[in-house]
Amino acid sequence: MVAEYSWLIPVFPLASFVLILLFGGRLREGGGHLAVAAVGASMLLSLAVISHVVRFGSYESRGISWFGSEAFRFGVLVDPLSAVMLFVVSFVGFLIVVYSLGYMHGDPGVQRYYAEISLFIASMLSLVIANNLVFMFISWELVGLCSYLLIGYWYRKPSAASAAKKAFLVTRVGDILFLAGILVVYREFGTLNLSEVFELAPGVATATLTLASLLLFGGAVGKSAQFPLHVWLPDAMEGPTTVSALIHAATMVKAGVYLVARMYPLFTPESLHVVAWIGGITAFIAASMAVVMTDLKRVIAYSTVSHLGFMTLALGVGGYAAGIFHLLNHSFFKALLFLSAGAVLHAVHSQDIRDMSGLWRRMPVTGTAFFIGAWSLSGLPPWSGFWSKDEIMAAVHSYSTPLFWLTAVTALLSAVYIWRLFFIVFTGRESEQAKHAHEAPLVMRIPLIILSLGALFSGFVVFAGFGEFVQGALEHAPEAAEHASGSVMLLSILLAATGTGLAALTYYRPVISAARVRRALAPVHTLLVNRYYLDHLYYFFATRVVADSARALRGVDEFIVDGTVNGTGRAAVCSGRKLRLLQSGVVQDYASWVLAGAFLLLVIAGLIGGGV
Amino acid sequence: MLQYLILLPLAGAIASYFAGRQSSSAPRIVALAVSVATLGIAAAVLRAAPAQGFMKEQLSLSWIPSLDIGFTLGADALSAALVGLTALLVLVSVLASWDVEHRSGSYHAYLLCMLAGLMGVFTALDLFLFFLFWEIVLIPAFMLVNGWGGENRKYAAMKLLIYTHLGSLLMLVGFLLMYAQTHTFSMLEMRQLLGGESMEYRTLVFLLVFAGFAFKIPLVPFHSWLPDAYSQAPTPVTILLAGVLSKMGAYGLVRVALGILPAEFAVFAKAIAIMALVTVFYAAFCALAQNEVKRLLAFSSLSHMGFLVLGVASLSFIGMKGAIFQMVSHGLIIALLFFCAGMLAARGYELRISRLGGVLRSSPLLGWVIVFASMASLGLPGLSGFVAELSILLGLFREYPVLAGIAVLSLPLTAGYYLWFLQRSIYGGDAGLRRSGVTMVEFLPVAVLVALITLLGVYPAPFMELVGSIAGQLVNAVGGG
Repeated sequence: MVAEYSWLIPVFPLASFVLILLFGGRLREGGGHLAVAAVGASMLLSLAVISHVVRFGSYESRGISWFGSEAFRFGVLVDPLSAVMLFVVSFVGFLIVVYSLGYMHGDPGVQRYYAEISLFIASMLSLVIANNLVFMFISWELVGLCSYLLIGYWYRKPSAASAAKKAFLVTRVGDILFLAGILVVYREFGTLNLSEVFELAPGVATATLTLASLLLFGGAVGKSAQFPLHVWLPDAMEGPTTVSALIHAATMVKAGVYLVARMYPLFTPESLHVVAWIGGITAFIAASMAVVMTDLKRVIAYSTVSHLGFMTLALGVGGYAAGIFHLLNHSFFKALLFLSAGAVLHAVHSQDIRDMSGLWRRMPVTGTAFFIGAWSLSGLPPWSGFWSKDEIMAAVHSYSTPLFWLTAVTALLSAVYIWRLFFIVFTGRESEQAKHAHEAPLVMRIPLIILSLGALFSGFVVFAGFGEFVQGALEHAPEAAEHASGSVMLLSILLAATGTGLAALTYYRPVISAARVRRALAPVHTLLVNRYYLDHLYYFFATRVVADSARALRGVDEFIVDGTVNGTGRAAVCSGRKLRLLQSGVVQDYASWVLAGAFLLLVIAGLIGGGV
Repeated sequence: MLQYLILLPLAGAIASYFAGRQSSSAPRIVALAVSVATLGIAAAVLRAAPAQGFMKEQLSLSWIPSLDIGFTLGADALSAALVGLTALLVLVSVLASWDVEHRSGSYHAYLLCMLAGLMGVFTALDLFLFFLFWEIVLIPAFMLVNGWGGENRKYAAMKLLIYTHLGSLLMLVGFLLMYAQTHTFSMLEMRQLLGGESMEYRTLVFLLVFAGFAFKIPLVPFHSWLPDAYSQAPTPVTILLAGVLSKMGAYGLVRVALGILPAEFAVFAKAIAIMALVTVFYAAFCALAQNEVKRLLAFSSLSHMGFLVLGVASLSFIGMKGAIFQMVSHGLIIALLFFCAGMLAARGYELRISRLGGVLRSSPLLGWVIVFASMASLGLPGLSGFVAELSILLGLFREYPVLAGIAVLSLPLTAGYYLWFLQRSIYGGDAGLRRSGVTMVEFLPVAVLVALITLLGVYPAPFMELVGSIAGQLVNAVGGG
């Protein structure tokens, strides 16, 4: 039975990590081919395991004792949910590693790159197939480590080192909530094994479940860059673009959404309500910021945040399958957008979209790929993004009206920002930089083509029973949201079309002047460009509150605590000089001191000894 | 077998002293040979430990019969773990001292004396003997800081001496009070005999003994000797101060305070936990504001020792296992960190964080080892520090959910000061030094420590099983679970 070997899935890239770490310097491309082979092997095995799950259902192994205690048995759990995620991670991961062969060619630190990417994919795969919360948490932190190392890949750039630190610390805040969630689960359930936890969940008090699930959701907020911890993701674009595509779009940032989906049986209606609103708010504010940013990768990053918000929202309103469906589709079209953006950066050597214009003629393949990605993302029919967004909107519609309108506005903004990007970068007059642009090599184009096919057609799995398949991961599946009613679907199409039209009228055939809109909405524009001042607030907290109180405490330590100690020392020396005067040489004096001392001792003995 | 753990280093100390009169490089060979041999014996003790159960006499000689003082030694899993850690870290320290030329005979003699004393502390089953070894450790530590330390060594050494002596004094008074009632120094008998004494009496004894250990670990506010001693001591000695000497306090807390006076410990457990929690945060904040590498590491070490005490104070099975795990894990990690600090200094880097920079550029391997060690120290899963922190938190949360909730908040703080340090000194900046490699004498200890930290972190089950029964007995004595 092939599922029995699923534990091997993360082992291949792990082996590749160790080998590249030790011998990568002697391999060609710093061990890139080894990484491709290892991830390819993982992918093939994953596909076999997935087909097993599709045909025969879930598989779980008992695992090995990690800690010398039954609560910590680390094994494998593959069910429909992990199957979907397994597919995304191994398949998209494989394409991106192949693309890296071209993209990272000639970089001096490429050995480190492939070692870290291998470790990342290994940890991400083990996160997906883990059957124990602690096992998940370990993998969760390791993917965070890899993200940190890869954001800071060009560590000599101060902005990269700083972004890496920010990413690690902000997600760490979420991680401790996750950890606290584990503490609650262990205390209340006595086990951390997922299927045992799910079995016991119905018998646990609702308040406890709400607390545990909200804490776990805190972890998701950090990892999946949800409001208010979304601030690290746009900065994370300092890493190589392949890293942005793999870690910060297709896989790791999905881990939070995956965690919510995985732990779904613990979520109560109260906690789901929080999940839904956080998701909705995240989707909206990120989309609004994406409209005004001028850095190519940052716009896509904000778009990622926004779409992660959509997935969270979907899970929150009970659209379990819709959320996972969007996760799948998003992985394709967002990886595609990032990789084509990478090809653009490769050619133009700038990240600012104001330096780019009219690239279509020089880079038709990249342009087409970006076009497909944009089309899919904007939610225009008939490609993948449309189908999942539509299901999400239907689910939100039956949940809450205010949330539905928030989502509707966000959907409109989605179309605006992505087409704005496309029109600015690829259409119009050729800019100076664009004149020297050239198409990417074959090894980069093939993954683009495959991802394009995915972005186009992955939406159609919904007609092959995707929803029912994913619901199979849950014992008590929520009522599947009714399929999009005609009016919601119509509205959704209308919004996407309006957004597209607005972007076209502003940036393709400039009927509307972007500058005039900016002036008219100056306060809003300032607010958005300053990212709602959240980064400022956090910066203030880190430097003025934490660092300053640390300095203050250090002052206390050095002057007051140490000062007291040194003062006591000096006092002892001084009193020694004074006490010398007691040595008067008069016997009567000594005798009276002896008496006083004996009396004192008796008193002490009486007090503590209790008549010894 | 246990007596050789003490006798061999003592003999080595004498040999090293005389070898130093012949040539300045001979003592290090003696020290190396002795510490390797001691490590061999320690390994055998560790192998035999599971069969030893809980505190059993393995060697018992009548020593001062009139006072019922015996030369009794024993090693259960807890002792054996610390014996192994000590032997390993002394070897690391000897290798880190490879370049010491100044009065090298005395230097290595003191190191080996310290080794002997430490082994005695961790295996003594007689309180008088325990105290004797405790003092034997202190004197070489003082001499080493005083004689081979940094600019401010006299002050640091004196502070270390006075502070630890004050602690020892309180502890001694506690021991004598116990003796006065039970007329024995045997740890094994004392617990039963003390059971009959009055509550107030035992409380007083407990507080005295606890204070002695609190000075040594140390806990805030008894910590003020630590940053000076750690930063002024020669780096190989700092490795031992932070890696093993701090464990004397922790070991005493578990073996004596909890082992002999479990009921009193239970009464004060919450207070001790709060004190430990204050230590964790106080030290973490201070670490954030340091601008010298060794002081940063000193406060970091203090903070992690606070975590260890949290585990003990939880009086839960899993928390106790975590605390014992932390003794070893913290020892390995802090030793690696200080070893790296020594390597930096040997390459001519200034250890002021504002001056230190570009380590990855000029010494890539060393730079990555520092990244690794920092990650281990901030509790990255997959490495040993995480296992300890996780089990301590799990245990603490069962008994004191609020305290555990607060303790969790320290984790981003720890990550903060390490990452900020890495950003400023390892990735960024540039000290303008030429590229340099790593010698074999440096590479070996680094490789061993890295391997052990990883191994314990990836698969802690064997170690947890080793210390499981002893943790269980310690906790059962107070009726915890």
